Amino acid sequence: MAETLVLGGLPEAEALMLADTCLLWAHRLSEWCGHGPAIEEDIALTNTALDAIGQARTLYQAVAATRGGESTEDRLAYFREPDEFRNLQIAAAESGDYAQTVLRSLYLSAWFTGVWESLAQHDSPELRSFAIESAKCARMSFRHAADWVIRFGDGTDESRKRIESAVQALEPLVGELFLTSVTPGDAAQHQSALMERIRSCFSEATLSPFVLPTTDGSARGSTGRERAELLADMQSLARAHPEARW
Amino acid sequence: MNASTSESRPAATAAPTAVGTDPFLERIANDEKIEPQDDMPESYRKHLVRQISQHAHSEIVGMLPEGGWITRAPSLKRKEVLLAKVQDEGGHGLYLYAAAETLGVNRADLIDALHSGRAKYSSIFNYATDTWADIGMIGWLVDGAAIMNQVPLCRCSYGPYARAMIRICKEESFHQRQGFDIVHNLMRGTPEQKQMAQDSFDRWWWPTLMMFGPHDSDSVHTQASEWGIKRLSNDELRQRFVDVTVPQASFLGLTIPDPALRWNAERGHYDFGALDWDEFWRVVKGDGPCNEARLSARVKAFNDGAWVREAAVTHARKRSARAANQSDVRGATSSQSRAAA
Repeated sequence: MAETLVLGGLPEAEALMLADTCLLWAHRLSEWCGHGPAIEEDIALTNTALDAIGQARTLYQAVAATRGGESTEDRLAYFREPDEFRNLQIAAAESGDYAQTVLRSLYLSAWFTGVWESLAQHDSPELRSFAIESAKCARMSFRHAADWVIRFGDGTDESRKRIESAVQALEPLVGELFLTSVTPGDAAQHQSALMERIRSCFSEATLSPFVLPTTDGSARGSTGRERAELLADMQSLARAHPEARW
Repeated sequence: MNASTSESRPAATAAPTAVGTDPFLERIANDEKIEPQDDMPESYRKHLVRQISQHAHSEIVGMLPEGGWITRAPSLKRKEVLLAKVQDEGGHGLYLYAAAETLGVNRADLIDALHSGRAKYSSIFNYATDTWADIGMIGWLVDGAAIMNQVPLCRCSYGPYARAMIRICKEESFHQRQGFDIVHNLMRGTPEQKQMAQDSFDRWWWPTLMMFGPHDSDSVHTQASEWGIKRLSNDELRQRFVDVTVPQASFLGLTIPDPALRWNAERGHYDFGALDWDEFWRVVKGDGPCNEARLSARVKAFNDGAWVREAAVTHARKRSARAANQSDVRGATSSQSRAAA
């Protein structure tokens, strides 16, 4: 059976992987809303979350359109079980402190930059246009996250300790980013560009050079509990009123 | 959100001065804008600092009751809209702190006043948001009341505040519409959704009317009016809000929880029942349902973020020092070259 393509060229499984990753990352970022270290940071994290939700919506809507029937963006987001989600593990992980939050953003926005730039070369005008806009968002989010990683690495003793702890905490989850790319795309080129983006930020932050972990997060399944808890919160109201329109 | 000063009893002020003998009051009477570099009475400056900073605090504290529902919003569209709305509130807080800073104060001191309890914020945010319908009510009623309060402030005498309010009011107008849209959808929904909306309306109606502050007889704002800061009285604004909102509630199919509410053809306004002023003052004085939770959440966020802000300052100093060193080295090299030449 031929693979279902959405947005004129993206395999459905990849579209869901991207959408689920965007949605769960946005959820984690939005948990900071009103609780950030400065008002400017509340606004900045919210911007990234808004971009990610917008991307998730476009992809879910495209998947729902190809599936037809009763499929909608909200059915996909609110009525699938946790083990049906295809997100990168790192997106579901609890945010931790601000160092871990911005490091996760660094990794994910570096990864998304490569993904969207690759899809921006696609033959499908619909997919290309979506990917070009999304790449701009990812580059902006990367710049914001990198600025903070650099400030923390080259800031106070405490901030350096915290960003080093964050590197350790996310180490089991970051490998999956190097094993996951989209089609069409050159996986080796994707990996080396991702490595370069992270290494150059670590270097400016005066941190130890980034080393590619030998294991990937998906094998460990280490954020399964966190994802289930996240979805229990996110889906609670929608599932309490399954017939309702909001 | 609400300019919260209407809830406070104004500090004692100097006796009003006749317009004809005071060039400052004459400028205000001529509708001239007062700008930061202009001469102004100290009492005018202090009044504005208090009002603008309380308004800024209200925006920032006001992010909390709605922020808690972003993760649980029942559809992706609602989630996106709510996130953007709460982000706007943060932006309003920033404009307003910046407007206050033009009066010679700084944000850190203003935030310290909030955290230590010396400064107030709008009491409406000390009420709980127990259900999704409360998010609709905050948008429709609370932001609606805020707009009623704030539109006249677009013409207030202090230029930076008036200009900030123009943009804020435009955004608040969107916020009100999204709130109305939430309630509209609930009232067209299942019986449970309709009940959720009515229960929420019953809880928010009276606190919203209290947002306009004490009765005019208990609130002396002579000087604020004379200074062109407060254009309409608390009771005038409250009446306007009731007159505008009752037909909207009727359109939505909501029952207003006030048996005394009726149209008074002679006055050309709705009559409405007495507000519970004991509750009003209890909440203003810190004993509302969520006063402690709101303030402690803000204090915790600020304290938890101290190391982040400190890292940013330290890193900026390090960069400046490195840039200065490099500049010295370049300067020395250049001098040596010139000397050698």
